[in-house]
Amino acid sequence: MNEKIDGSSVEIDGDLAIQILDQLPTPVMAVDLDLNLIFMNDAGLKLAGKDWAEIKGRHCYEIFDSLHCQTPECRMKQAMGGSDTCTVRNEAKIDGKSIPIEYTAAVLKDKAGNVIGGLEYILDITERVQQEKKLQEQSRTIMEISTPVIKLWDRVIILPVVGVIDSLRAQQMMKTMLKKITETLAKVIILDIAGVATVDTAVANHLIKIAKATKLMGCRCIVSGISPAVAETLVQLGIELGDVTTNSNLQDSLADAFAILKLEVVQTK
Amino acid sequence: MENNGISEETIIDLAQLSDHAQVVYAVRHLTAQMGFDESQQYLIATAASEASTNVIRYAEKGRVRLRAVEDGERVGFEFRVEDHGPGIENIDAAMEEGVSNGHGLGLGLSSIKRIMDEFDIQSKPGSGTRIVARKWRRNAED
Amino acid sequence: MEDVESFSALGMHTVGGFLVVPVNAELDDNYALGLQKAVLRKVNETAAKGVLFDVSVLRIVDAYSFSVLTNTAKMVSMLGADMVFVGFQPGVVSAAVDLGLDLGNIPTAITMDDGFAFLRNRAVKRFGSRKPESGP
Repeated sequence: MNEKIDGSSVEIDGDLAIQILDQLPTPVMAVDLDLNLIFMNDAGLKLAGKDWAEIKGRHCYEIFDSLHCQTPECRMKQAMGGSDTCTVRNEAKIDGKSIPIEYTAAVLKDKAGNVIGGLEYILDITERVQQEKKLQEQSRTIMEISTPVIKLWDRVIILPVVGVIDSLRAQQMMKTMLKKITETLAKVIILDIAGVATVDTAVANHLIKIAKATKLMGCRCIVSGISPAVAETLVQLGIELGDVTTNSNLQDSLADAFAILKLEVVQTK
Repeated sequence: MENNGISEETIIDLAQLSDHAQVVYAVRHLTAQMGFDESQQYLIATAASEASTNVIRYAEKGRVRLRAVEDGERVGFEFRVEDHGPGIENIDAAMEEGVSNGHGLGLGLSSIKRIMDEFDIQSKPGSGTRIVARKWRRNAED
Repeated sequence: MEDVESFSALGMHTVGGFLVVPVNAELDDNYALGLQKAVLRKVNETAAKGVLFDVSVLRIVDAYSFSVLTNTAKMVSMLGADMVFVGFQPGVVSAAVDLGLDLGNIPTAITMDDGFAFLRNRAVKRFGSRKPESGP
């Protein structure tokens, strides 16, 4: 290559090109059609802990023994076989240590457009994975904090739910609810969904399941917080809540709870 | 989330369960900004939630694109949900009410179609599914 | 299959005209069927007005034995007695719901007191002022 870069007197020739590749701060390598290594930059050699002389011509999978290596998952083989360039996560084993990586594999063609091998660059995502794990733990903590069950009256408890209910959270909710029902011997549990962002069929399914479960235990479940928006959505979705008692507000739900407990609120003189 | 400056699209990648929450919040936020009333916001968010839940459940990974659309005088909200998952063999059967795939209450596709004003689904077993849906804003007089 | 007498020895007893049936921790097919036979015979013998199934120690259920239990309740009902299940635990309930098992309209209560109160209420409704023998 002998192209001039605008505004600069530097011309890119073979040596400079290789210097650029070598100094890229992430492992880059190229293989031929048989997955023999034809190039690896400095960052790659550093990751592998080897010299070029040691690995030149060897198979890439011998150097970075990863979960995808020599399986249909190998994106390098896929790319050389005609698939699009793609980026995926993987795990590489180097010197007995397992390292989480994200690699991108693409096809390598000659000037005529024939496929002559594959290109790959690797990102060491150890830190990223650690951050994700931390976030997951944090959100699990938040989930536990954000499902507080409150005792509203003798044998009446209430669980306010805010945000988005996914199946993980729904499972968590049910576990918490059943445990609290046992602890408080509740006869009524009010599930307040006024703060829930959507009620789709998955969520409705969870609510029905939860109501079935509490009923088995001998505790009635009242779903409160059905706004006109939710009511319209449920009807539009064709969802029948069936046996589940519903209300639009907490006051009505509490009144229902008292009725179930056979209690009356009386004005004193 | 990226904001594609050219068409002002909001893009959310679906990779794990918690991304679905992101979609719901984004849709609520955008439709509220666009002036949809609360019922409509809820409905549209629900439809988007159905679609993205399907992706996470069956395809594990996908992409959601949200944007405002215009058609002469009317203003609408559009979401596109794409994945490279297993695809749907028989779309008509899947659209039928109460068709279950082991997770109760069906795929929710018929729900999306019912809620949204426009709905299009392309799916081929082995190459993935693409859903485009639009809802036009109800004006006060409607 | 064990005979009726030994089932009595396992804790079936009458309290105030109601038959209390403790259910073991593990409900296998044989045990469930044996229990069913024993309960029906006992209800007949004692002319019990109601049956309280104490499932508070029940830990393991499967679809079949669960259905035997619920069928027992239905049969008891046909003999003219009311029934109530008391004390299903969270573990059993989660499993039952996951398996899609259903108690249908069979009554449940969370404490023994609630269970007895329910049966007494039903007895009064059915038999008017005629109350069952003295009890709690």
